Amino acid sequence: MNPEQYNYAHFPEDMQAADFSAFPNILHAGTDAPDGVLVNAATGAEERLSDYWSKGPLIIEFGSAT
Amino acid sequence: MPALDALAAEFEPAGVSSVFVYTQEAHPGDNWPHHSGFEHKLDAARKFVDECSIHRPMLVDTLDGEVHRAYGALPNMSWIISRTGKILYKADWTDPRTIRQALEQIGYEIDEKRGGAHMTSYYMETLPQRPNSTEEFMQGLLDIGGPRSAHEFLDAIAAGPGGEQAVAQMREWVIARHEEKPTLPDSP
Repeated sequence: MNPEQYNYAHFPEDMQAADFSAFPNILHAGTDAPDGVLVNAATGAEERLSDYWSKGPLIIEFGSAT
Repeated sequence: MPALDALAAEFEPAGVSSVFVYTQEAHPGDNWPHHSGFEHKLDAARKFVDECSIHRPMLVDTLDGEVHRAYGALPNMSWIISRTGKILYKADWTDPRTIRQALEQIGYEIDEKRGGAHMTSYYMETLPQRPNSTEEFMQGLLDIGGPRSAHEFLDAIAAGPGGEQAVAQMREWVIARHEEKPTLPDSP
């Protein structure tokens, strides 16, 4: 999904089919996890995923209310 | 409490950390519309934490989903990353059952290494199954997102080769539940 399609106002008619079919072919076990900066909702501070995983195994769940 | 919160609490003493990355709203509707800006997204994430009692750190992605897209942008994925930043577990759907199995495996590996064993990695893929009730899914869309979330999901299926006929029964079901607000037959 490209940045323009992201944060859609209406559920996409293609149901993100391309993202689902691409998933088995990206980011395999054993390869480097993408790092990135996110904002902690509780503190408002910027944090990196690597701040967490550098201390031990990290479970990352992605999702939203809906 | 979401199932993964319990799992995170259980494995925390073993040194496992856990975060939730807040993405776009997968099924925007009247209750949870798409985000009008980053501040709105931050507010929505805080509301989500309160309403769903999520105890893991809630990390909010950029408005255009930089981190989410880097991981494939699927709506409900889970990953486990090692201390050296390697992917250990990758699933296109969050299933506490297989996450637990993966964490038990990681614990076993740590114990063996501490005991002096020489360990070596091997590569594995699996294709597990999970229960998936269409009615419960649609009820969730109605209860959480609102009627628009449910109808737009059916619109997307109807845009496929089966057309509106493919969703006619579900459409009636949604309309009946929306208007009459009945409970599912198997709910308490």
